[in-house]
Amino acid sequence: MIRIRTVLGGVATMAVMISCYSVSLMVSGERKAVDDLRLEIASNQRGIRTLQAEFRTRARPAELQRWNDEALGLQAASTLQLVRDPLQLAAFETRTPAAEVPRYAVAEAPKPAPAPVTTVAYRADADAIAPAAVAELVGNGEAHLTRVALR
Amino acid sequence: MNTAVASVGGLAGAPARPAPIAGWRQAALAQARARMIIGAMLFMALIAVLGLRLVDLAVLHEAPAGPRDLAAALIPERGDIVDRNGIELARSFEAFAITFEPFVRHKGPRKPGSDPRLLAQKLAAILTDRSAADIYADLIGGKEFRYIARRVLPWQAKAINDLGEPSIVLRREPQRLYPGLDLGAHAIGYTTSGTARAYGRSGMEKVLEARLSDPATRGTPVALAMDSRVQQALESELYAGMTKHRAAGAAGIVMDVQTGEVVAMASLPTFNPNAPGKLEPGPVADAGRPDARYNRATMAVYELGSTFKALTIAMALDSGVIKSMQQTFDARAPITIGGHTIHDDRGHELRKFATTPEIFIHSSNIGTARMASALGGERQRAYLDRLGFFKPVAVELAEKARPIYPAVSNWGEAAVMTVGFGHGVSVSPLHLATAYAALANGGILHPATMLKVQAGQAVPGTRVFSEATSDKLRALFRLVVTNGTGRKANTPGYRVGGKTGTAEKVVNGRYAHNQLVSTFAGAFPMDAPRYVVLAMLDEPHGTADTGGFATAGMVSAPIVEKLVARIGPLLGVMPDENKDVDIGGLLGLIADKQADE
Repeated sequence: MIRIRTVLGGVATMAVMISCYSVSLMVSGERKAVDDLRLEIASNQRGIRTLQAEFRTRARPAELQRWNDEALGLQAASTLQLVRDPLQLAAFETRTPAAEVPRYAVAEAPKPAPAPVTTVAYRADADAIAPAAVAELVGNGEAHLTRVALR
Repeated sequence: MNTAVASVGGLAGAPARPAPIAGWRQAALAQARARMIIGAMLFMALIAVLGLRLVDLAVLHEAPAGPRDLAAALIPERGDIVDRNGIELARSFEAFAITFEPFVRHKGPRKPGSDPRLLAQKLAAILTDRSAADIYADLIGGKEFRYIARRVLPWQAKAINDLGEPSIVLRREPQRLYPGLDLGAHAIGYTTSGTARAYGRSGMEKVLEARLSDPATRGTPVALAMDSRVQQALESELYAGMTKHRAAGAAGIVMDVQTGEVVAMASLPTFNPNAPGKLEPGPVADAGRPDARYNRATMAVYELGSTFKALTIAMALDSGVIKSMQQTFDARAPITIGGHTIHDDRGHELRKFATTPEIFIHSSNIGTARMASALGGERQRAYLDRLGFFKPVAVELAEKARPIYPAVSNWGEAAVMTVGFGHGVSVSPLHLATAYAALANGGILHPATMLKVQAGQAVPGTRVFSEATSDKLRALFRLVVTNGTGRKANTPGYRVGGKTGTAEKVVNGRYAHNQLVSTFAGAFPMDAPRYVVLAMLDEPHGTADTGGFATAGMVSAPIVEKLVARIGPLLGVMPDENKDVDIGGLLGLIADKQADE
């Protein structure tokens, strides 16, 4: 019984040790990867410096001027090519006005003021035509009404 | 209780060991043994862990590179130098050097593995700038250590390594690279390489030696005041002028009038600081001339001729000798004094009482001598002293010469007059540029500086002339360019103002009539000056288009005209033909409105 417990204890200890060690290995592996990355960054930065030096040497001002003199022919802008303000820009307008064309103007008449509202009392009108009278006129052929709406 | 039981058992037969005690002892022994085994296993496990860890550390792990180590690895061996816009002017790199070391790697003397003559031929085929005979001489020279080549290209280093010759060693050594080649070489300077590091030998490389090599500071680049674009324009235009007029040399300066920053400084012929010992081939390479490393802008002193007249007029205005521009000076006839005759140049004779503007635009020696005489020697010396003309120019560079001027005991009336129009005092072009900056900026003298002045940084300055004097000089400078001897410097829209000066060189103590120093010094834009420009040709020759003349108005002013057109936009100066200095009042004081160039 004691032996089994001892063996089990040993196995458990070894398992813990191995797992701890494997964790340690993983950590050191990651650390090494980080170190490698840092070294790579440093190496790349050195490479960038070297390439920058090469670029600066190839694109040195004297070389750029040689290119400009031989191929591009660029020159500094003269006074007339620089515009100081919008007025000067407008002064460069060269288009001539087109031939005389009719021009239309729109005049707006002022709207008449609305008539004042007056209130009057209702009064029956003796001359008003009653519906019965209309029907009589139609029947006589004197008037044609297609529709009579009464409100 | 146990004892009683044992006594009872003893009565029954022979005495024997009590069984329970024996079982306990065995059990106790077994337990102790088990514990001991466990303990031993634990110790062994511990030892195993330690052993594994040691193996892990020793075999699997490299020495960890800390962030500080990596940062240190990125710091250059020598600090970078950049221009005011951050463009690299000088930087460090590790170059390959090829050495011959027959003794070092092998005990005792040893000849090269292959035939030296054959080896020399193979090396010469790779190192094209060395002959096989030269290399062979090195190989059989019998020395312990010999450089075959330095700063070789990577492909050359690889090819030499592939030869497999054990006595030829590839070394890495710190070297300095100047990407612009000869651009600004005199200002930047150069280094020489030791086995451990490079050492500054001239220019700002020498001035900044401690700053560039200190591990605490070399990680941060040093910014110069130089603008590499302006420097290129200056060198290019000067070179064109020097070539056209077959001059022995040239110097040019562009300086900020408010801070004293030297935005560009050129001296021609120039050199390549990547190979400072090798002279550049050029039209003026000539035996007996100064080395191309000679900085004409600071090391050479010249009598700068009529450009001095602006200083004399400023002194006379500032001290009240000239009370108004209408005041006239007798320029009717040459002056004879001390056995010398002061006369105006042919074609520039005024032959009358002339106003200050007339004297200035016609560059009258007689009129200026009269002004200087009225000013007096004491005040003249005091002004020149305040302008720093009696000591080497105030700038960081070590390459500067001491001005030449008469002793006080010899500073009599004749000296006062001749110094007044630029003879008798020899200063460097940078002296003159600094003084012209003071004339243009309102009267404050700022020492020249090769280092960038940061925004908000205080700039040292000393008032030399009053604001009113500076205002009047600005109008006079502009008048010289619109109506005077400097008309060929008139870049449209940039309101250039300045003064021409043509002086004869002093050769063996005598003035050489055919060896001139032609200088144009001025500033732009004159209504609100920002930059001083100076162009000087040393011993120019006239051409057909200058009518055979090599005067400053003919040879130096056109350089400034082209230069300002190029650098004005780069420096943020907008050309504007609707703006100008008001010179209407001065024009009314001039009888002949146009002076010859």
